[in-house]
Formats: sequence, structure tokens, C-alpha cells
Amino acid sequence: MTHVLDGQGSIEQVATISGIPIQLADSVAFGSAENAGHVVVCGSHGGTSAGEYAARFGYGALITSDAGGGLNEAGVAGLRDLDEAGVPAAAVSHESARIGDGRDIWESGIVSFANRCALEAGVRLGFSTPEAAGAIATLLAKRVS
Amino acid sequence: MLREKVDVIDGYEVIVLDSASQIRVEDKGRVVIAASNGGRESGRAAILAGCALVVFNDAGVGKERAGVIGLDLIDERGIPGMAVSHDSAEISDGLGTWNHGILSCVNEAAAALGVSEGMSVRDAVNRVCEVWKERS
Repeated sequence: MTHVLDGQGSIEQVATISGIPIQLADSVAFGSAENAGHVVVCGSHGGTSAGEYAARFGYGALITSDAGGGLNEAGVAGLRDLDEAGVPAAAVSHESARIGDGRDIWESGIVSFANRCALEAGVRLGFSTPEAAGAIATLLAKRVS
Repeated sequence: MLREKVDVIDGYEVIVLDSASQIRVEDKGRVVIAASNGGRESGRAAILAGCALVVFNDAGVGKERAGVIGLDLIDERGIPGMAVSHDSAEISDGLGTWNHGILSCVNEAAAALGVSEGMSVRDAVNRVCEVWKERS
């Protein structure tokens, strides 16, 4: 069963913070198990499927768009789910950065949601994406040391 | 993530997915309800597969209409596309989108087949299949 986007998307390392790679992708699905432990910043919404991909690939942390929240705050439901696995996750406002555009999430995103693990890492609403990624990477680095 | 064939209308299979990343090559010619945002990558998946019609979530539309920009991309290929309001159905919930979704955005190809904002997903899909049947 071949998914049409298999091999069609890319993931790019934009920074290393506290030794933790920060990866950018337009979709959460474009990473792989090779990104286990990395902070993945992507253009996807933070719904349940995004949480499933992050858990499947073992991402160290995930930053997405909040997709405007929407019905039952479904736009960040997957990020809440990641708390159970101890994975920090945050979302940026869909008005601050283009959903579907990982680069814009990184360059323009303003955090509108942080899960419990991300809050514990020091992420706060209003942070830029690099600020949030930095706080999370510092926490992840402490965990592995 | 769910993949389910929920209906066959006038010979057109209706496939429900939680994510557009689940779109497969064999979805060519099918009606696909994918509960992702209707952004660039979702549009690209629909084009690569050659879906007959797609329904996404508008993700609140957001900055530069990025949440529905994929509908413009598929419009260029003549594929009818629509998005449900993110307040009518949960993003990432394919069955909720099929059962409860209310359209907030339709592309020109869909509008030409009689689809308009405010319609339910089921009514819109039935309308399009009806028109296709009349034209075939």
C-alpha cells in the first residue's frame, strides 16, 4: 500500500540547540524513525494524527500549527496526548504562521498552546518558535545527559 | 488513523481518512474525505493520487488562507475540492468530518457542480455524484 506522499516530502535540520537537532518539515509525516529524539517543527496541525506520527517515529518534541483550535480544541488534541509519553509539544497560532509551511512555522510562529511537558520545559504562550524549541531542547539535553 | 469506505454513490467509492498523508495511489478516481488541513501538502496528495473529489478541514483558514490553499491547487487540475469549518468537525477526525462537517470553503470546480458553502459534506458529495451521473 503506497501512500502518494511517500518520498515526496523533505525534512531539513535548521539548528542544533544544546546538542539536539531541530528539524523542519511541511508535514509531521515527512520525518522518520531517524528523527527519534529530535525536536520536529512542522506545518501540520496538532491533531490526533500528528500525535500518532510523533509517537510512531519517536520524536523528542513536536511543534505544529494550532489549526485555529476548532471543535473541542481538536487542533491541539494530539499534542495533549503526547504528554502521556512525556513528549513536550507546542503549537503556534494559525494566524501567526501558514499551516502546511514548516519554514513559516519556524520563522513566524507565535506559541498559542503548550502541553504540560512543554510548560515544564519553560515554554510560555507568546514565545517565538525558536524560543520554544530552545527551551524544549535544553530539557531534552538534560534528560539524555 | 482510520481508513474506511463509508459509501458507494452511483459507483463512486467514498473513502474516509483521518489524514491526507494516508492518501494512496489506489484512491485515484475516488471521493476522499481527509480530515487534514486543506493546505499545500494535502492538495498535492490529492493531485498525485488523482482523486475525483476531496474534502478537507479549513483549519480556521488562518494566515494567507494557508488552511485552504490546497483547494486552489487542485482547482487548477479541475478537481472539485471543499473544506469544512474547523468548528463543525474535529480536525483529524475523518468520520466526524463525513457525518457532521459543514462546508466553509469550496473551489470553483466544486461550485460548478452545484456545491456551496453551508452545505453538509454528505449533501455536497451526493450533489456532485448526481451531477456526474447525469453527465455520464
